[in-house]
Amino acid sequence: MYNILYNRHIGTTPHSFLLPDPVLDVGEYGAILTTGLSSGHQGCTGCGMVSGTNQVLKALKLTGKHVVASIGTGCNEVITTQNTSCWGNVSVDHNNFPNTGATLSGNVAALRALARAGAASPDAFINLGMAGDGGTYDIGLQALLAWIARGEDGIYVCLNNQAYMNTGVQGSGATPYGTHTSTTPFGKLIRGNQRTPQYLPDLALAAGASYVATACPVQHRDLMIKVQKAAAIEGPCVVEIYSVCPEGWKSETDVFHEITEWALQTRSWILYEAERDRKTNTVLFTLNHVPEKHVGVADYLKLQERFAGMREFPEMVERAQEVIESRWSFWQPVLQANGIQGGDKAHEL
Amino acid sequence: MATVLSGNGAAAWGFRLSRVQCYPYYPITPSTACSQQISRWVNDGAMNTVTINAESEHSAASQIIAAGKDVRSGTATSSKGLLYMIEVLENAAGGSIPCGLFIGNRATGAPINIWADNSDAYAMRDSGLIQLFAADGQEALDNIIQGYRIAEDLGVRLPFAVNLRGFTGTHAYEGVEIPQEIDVDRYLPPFAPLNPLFAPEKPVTYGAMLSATFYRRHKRNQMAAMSNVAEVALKAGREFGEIFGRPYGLFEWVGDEKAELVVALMGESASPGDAVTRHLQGKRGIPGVALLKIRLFSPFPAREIAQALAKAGTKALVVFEEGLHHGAVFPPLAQRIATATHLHLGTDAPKVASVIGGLGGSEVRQDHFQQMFNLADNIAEGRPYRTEPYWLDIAEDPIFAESEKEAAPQLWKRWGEVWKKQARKEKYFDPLPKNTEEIRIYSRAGQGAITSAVGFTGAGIESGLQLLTVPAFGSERRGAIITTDTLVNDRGKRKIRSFNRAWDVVILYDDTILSSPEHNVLEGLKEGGVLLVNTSRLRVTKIREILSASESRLRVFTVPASEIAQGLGLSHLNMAMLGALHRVYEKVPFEKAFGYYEKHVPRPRESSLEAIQQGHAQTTDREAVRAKKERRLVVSGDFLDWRPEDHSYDLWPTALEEIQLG
Repeated sequence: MYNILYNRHIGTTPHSFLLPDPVLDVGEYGAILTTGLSSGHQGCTGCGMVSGTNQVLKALKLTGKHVVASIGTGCNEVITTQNTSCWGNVSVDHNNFPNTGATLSGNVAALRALARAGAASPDAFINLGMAGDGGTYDIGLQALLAWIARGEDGIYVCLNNQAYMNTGVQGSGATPYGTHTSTTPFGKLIRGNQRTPQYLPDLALAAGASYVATACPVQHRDLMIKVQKAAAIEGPCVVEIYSVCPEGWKSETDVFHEITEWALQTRSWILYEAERDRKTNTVLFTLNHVPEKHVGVADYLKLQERFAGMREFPEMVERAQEVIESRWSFWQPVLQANGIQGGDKAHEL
Repeated sequence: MATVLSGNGAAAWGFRLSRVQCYPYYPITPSTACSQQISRWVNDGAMNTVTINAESEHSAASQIIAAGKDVRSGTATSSKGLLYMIEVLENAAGGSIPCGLFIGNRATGAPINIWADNSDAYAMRDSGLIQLFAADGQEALDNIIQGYRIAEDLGVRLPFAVNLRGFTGTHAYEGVEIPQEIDVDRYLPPFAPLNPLFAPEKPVTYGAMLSATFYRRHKRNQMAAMSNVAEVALKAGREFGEIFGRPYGLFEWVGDEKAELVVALMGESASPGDAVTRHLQGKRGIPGVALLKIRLFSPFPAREIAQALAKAGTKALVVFEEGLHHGAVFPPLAQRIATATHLHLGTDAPKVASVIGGLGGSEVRQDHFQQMFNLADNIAEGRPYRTEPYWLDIAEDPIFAESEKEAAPQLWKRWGEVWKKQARKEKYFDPLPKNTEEIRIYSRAGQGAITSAVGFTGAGIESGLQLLTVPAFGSERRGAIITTDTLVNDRGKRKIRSFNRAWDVVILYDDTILSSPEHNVLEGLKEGGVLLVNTSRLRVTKIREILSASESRLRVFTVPASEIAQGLGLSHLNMAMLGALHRVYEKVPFEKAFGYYEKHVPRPRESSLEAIQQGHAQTTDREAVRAKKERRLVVSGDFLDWRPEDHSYDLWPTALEEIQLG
């Protein structure tokens, strides 16, 4: 349990409110030459995950530290390590599907042992974990929560594309309600995915994470600031990245931005962050983005054929809207403080 | 000077002396005590290791593999824990990560069974690890140190596992030589990472995905590394002998150089086999016999074993195995040996039969080996034998059956012809000489019997004898009746680890055990043996009466141990019982032992020593007048906190630890 504090300001800032050391403000990211993934990866056209990974790596490289990444099995691992490595100057440890968190712990332990032996300085390295939503919400949850509970310093990035894309689009613990996947097909009797997803930031905060954030590659400055904050903050930090998947979402490959914009507009994906102050047992929640105008979820369902079935059923769309509103209601105090009407009414900034 | 250690304790020393830098752990019976010991050392500052309290065996394995790229790492596990690790262990082998595992071998179920067999080790045999089998705590310790030396060799770079049989190995307390740190450092150089992760100048990617062309080349290289192991292990074993005086080979040959009859096996079950082989050697009418104790299971030293068998002129080889290979013709070891002899000796290969025993903690006894040598004799004579495994201790399916009545009808239909042609030869079944003296304690779980037996073992070792204490463990509740057996060997240097189960002394920590319907405390007690009972209310004649043993040559002693302990404010009566044992059994001289207890006795030391003295003084075979009121010890917090794995580490710190912990 923790006390909840709301940051009345909406938006992302490079500086942390609760923690004493300000994070590095790198200014205009685009102006500095850095590499993320090197060329040759086998990601699909229009893949949001590759873009997200690139931005994470660029943000971390700007800290000047060497990144040691534990990557869980999944699309991201498969498309970047096939016969060659696309990880440039990142050291990569792929150690199976369910154990990204455990591998992260093993690497942290090795670094501690090296530091004891005087063979390495912990300050020179960033321990990064990276896995998909299946490897995070489902098979890897035990290892992830145990890693968070150990309180080790590191960053865990979940590339959430809302299903098992690497194995052929099966439903995961992060699949939205009503979605058609190969294991939750939109049938005559049962219409798509019947459950609503869990939320990683909630799970991570409950386990004791120091910092959690959601991000999307379209808001790249926001994403990179969050990753850098995570790098600066002591303890386990979790960043969840919205990752468009044209193959699994049955969308066109050139509507990456449009889909993300609709997700933000309809609040199907909410950009926020939360920092923990252990002394006061407080978690400060900051809302990073408020849609310019209120849009119903039906618009989000348009560009993605995975929602083609549920679009035809008004009661399902209504249910999806309810899920969104219930999640959004958390931000009422912030919206009120900013004179923005919440709830189901339209609002303007 | 040997120190008294359990098999798990010895394994922990193996990791400690190897200067393991990262040790994640997850508890599972029967190997947990190894991790407990290491955690204690680390938390007391005696060992500089990063430990991780892992949330599962899978994670612990993931962590040794992750850390093993940069530092020396290891962990311990058993049974289902190992099965849970297997998913990720292949990454250690495929990624050339020389991390180490200690395995307290245990059945894998279902049905669930916490006792020993090799099912777990067999389940992992295709995971690409080097598999070494240890026959006792000393070998476990030595093998872990050698394991790192072999695994980290530049021609190998593969993970390894050291196996020790659960309970009879992991929970057996005996004298273990703990090597000097300085010597181990000389033998095992510091870990040299080849492709570390924490090296910004040379980024690497582990666990990359390879397509067929690259994959098959990689796997071939991995196999090539594995095939280097035998040679590296031989060199490592020889050099180990040069420094520590205990050389190791790929296997051990016990018995005659020319041996027509051989029984092959792995691990701790060799103890009774060892005794039987030496007993049968040179007996009239029995051809040469030998026990082949295989140490390196993976990679299997096929050529070397085949050569040894050819050199010995072996005609019949019986492979004893504590595990199965479902659906296969033979279990794994027999299969490997049969393949080895067939490939390397062709038509000159000895005939190979398979025997399955020791499953799920089944006893492996001397008479089993007598049967197996008899079977080998029959096979060597050309009698028919089974082309599928024999089983030990299955009543309706014995190895020898004289008539139809002794076997199940279905089985007789199938194997009747084979049975009819077998000859059970009495010369193989002559009882073994009773070269050891043996003590059995019946106590209630929580009374501290194991602690006192471990103390006694330490004192005995210090007075120059060889002792072995094996407690019975299981899913006992507190207060259940348990046994703790101690073997004393005063004849020469050769280690004996096999109980004859003929007790010189039987001790009851609680007089209510006399009336337990499930325990016949006189069973196995030798003629003229001693029964020592803790009682304040029963007289010697009464005890004889209860046992219906008024006329027997049994010597009965009583000691009011609970009363003594209570008088001294102790929560356990075990120290008084320890003193009493010295009164009735004098092979370990009391004066000398007391010197040991003065150094090592559990806290509170003064009272414990006084309890030993009083227990020794108040033991009597006379009709002592006792208080009528029954004495029971008050249940204290200590008592309630007791856990089966607690013995010895807290209570009997070794001299070496005392020094290191200041």
